[in-house]
Amino acid sequence: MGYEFDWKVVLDNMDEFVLAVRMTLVLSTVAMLAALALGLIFALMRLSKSRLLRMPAGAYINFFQGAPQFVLIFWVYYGLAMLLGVNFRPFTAGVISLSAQYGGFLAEIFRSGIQAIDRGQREAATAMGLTAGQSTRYIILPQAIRIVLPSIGNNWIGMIKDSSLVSVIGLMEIMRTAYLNANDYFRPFEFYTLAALLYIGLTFVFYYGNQALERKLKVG
Amino acid sequence: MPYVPDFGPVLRMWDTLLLSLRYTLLLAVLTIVFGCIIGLFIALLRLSKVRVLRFLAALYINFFRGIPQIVYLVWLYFGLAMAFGTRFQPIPAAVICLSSQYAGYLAEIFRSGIEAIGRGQTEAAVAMGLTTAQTFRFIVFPQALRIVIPPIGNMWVGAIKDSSLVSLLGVMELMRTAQVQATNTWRPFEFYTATAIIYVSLVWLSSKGIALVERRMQHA
Repeated sequence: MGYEFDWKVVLDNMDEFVLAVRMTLVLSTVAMLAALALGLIFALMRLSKSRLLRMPAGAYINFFQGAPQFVLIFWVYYGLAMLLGVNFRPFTAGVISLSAQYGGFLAEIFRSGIQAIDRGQREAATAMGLTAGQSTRYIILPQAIRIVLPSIGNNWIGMIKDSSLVSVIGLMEIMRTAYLNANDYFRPFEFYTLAALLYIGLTFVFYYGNQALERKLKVG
Repeated sequence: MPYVPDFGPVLRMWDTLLLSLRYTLLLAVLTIVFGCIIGLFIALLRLSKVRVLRFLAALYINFFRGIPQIVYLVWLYFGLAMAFGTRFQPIPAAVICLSSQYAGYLAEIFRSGIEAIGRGQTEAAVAMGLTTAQTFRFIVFPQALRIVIPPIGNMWVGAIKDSSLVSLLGVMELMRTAQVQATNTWRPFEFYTATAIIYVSLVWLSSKGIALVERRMQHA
């Protein structure tokens, strides 16, 4: 028995997928911004002279790099919610778990970027009378950020892909929209193919954007 | 009334949880083994003198690095199965899915490993009368292997974490087992915390093992 492909159903529901793509991008953006903040904080903690700051940061980074995102999502949405007695919205739970993990990844990226800046820069800053905090803020970080931007771009692409996991707790992003439509119309092949193509399209765009960014930063 | 965590149910089901790791490890091992086989093949295509082969290999790599695992898994198990009227068994489907995707990443790893071996080596081998195949087998490959072992180690860690996604197909690996138990005992926080800790421990052990292998290779 042959299977008749029905792509019309997909096209009829494209408006839902436009919203889905928007949700994916919004989720990824919010989570990425939170992750950037967390990453910077933990990177600085990790580089601190104080053991009291270094060790918890190291533990956090190692833990969230080792735990699967899938597990983290369930842990936040069901586990943490029960512990705190709150009812997370899927979006909120998604942001928390994604940013917690990517904060760990970005912390390591920021750390290596900061460490890559020549010691001489810091010494010169101190010689000019800047405090450690000032030299970090005005001299080291601006240069470090230029080095790490391509890596952050790669993590952004990873974030877009991992956003698909938040579908399991019901957020109406690309994967969830595809799932619901696939079930409604009994057309899993068509809708999941669309989902795959949408993700490839997104990663494609950002991949080449990242390459262009990398090239721009190298010359400048 | 505040929530009081109770790890009793977790401890009672501890051996069930640990036993489910056999599926986790089975999936990870098969993913890496098949991924390496396919990945090496793709890498050789990518380095081929034939332009079409190079292009196809690059297409494969970019495609499989661009889709989220969950989308590919669901597409294969539900979508493709319906389209071709076949019924996939969960574990073979998972292995096909994960290994073909990891092959994409591993192909890039192998490629950079092979390219890292200086042209001088290849030229010297040709000057000594070795064929291309012999050069690869006796000169390039052994040296490239030492370079690629650490990144492959990272892939192994990724495979362990990605095996958690296979829970969606019903395979009773760690995540699925924990999910079932969490639902039965109404203790999601405890079970998902334990699950995260087990995954992190596995990852930590693997990293230590890889570091050990790396160190031993230095002396070889």
